[in-house]
Amino acid sequence: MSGIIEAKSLVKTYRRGREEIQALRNVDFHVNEGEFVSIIGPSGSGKTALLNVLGCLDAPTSGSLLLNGTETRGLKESGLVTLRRENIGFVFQQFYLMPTLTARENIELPLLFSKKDGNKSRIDEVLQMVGLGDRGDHLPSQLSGGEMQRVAIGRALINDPRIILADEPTGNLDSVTSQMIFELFRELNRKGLTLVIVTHNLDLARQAQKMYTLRDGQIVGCDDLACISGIGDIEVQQVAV
Amino acid sequence: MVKVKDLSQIEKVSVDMEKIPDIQVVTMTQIMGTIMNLAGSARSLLLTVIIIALIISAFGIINTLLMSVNERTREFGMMKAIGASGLDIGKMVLAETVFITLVGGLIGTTAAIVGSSLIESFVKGMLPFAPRGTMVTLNPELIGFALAFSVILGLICGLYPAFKSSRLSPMEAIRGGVE
Repeated sequence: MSGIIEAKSLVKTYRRGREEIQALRNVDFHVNEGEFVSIIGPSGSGKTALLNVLGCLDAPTSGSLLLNGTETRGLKESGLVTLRRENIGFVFQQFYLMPTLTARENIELPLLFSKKDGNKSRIDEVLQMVGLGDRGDHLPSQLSGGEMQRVAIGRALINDPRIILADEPTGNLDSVTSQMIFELFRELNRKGLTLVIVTHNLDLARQAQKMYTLRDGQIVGCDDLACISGIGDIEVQQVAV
Repeated sequence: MVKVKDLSQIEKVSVDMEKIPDIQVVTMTQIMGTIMNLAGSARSLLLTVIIIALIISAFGIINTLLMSVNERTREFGMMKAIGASGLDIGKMVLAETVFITLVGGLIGTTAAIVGSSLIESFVKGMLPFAPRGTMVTLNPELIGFALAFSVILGLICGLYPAFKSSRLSPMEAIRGGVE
């Protein structure tokens, strides 16, 4: 089955002065359309690096990445922007909302860049979808952490992407709010959206359909969630992806 | 003070008067020439000061914009992540710069109009033989030029910061902003 994300032998190397850091080492990663995938691993294992490469926010040092059938290697900036705009929605741990814009305006922001602004019914639809129908006119400072993350999710959804990439979306939230955000992700997934979520929270990660474990820039572990009892004692096994 | 009815006779009269012992003749033409020379020197000095002020303010604008771009790195990174292109970011920075310099130009022009009237009334109070009427005249063309110049200055000063912000890598911008 052809995947909506197909990464083969991804390598990402960063340079910090003279030091060379290998964030990703020959990572193969496959996600089918409509799948809910979580990525776990200890700090520094390369989770965020992988997500950034998958989202075309960062170019891999080597390897190939097909997004929705399009090979990203060799694409120019404008091609990557279009690919990102049409296919991917990002959710970050720190929300990154514009403090001077209301929830509604924050959600509308990507429409300005895709030249589709003014679509009020779509904004209302997304506000309802993320459960903020009555909070659209509030500034981020007037919202709780969970609500801010809902706004960020709404902003990721507004361009009707096929994939949502979320980097520690519950990292700044309490456990109850985290569960509510995950419920929202599951609901979006039931509607057919593909989700790839990086998290430290194993309980939440287990709610995905497939779970990848990263360690030292390599994928280790399996998608059989039953065999995992904790991040520290994940059985290390190479999986075919 | 000697007034000559026939202006063509000024030169001859002054030469004749110079022949009288202990008399020095200074014609109004000479006084006017001296005043015009002084005014010309003052104008050149003023122009030099204006050019230096413009160069300094241009560097000030560029420096402020670069600081603003650096402080907003994470914001630009986020915008790129949600679909903005480098061109979008660059245009946004440039538009903001032009807007700020235009507002600055409007405030500066208003301050110049109000300030010059205040200075005029102050100077008139100091001068024993102040001319009647107003010394300050508003030139709409000059005001238009000043505003247009502030926009052009904004465009020139905003080019480099706009280019710099448009070239930011989204991932590095987000990471850079966090650190």
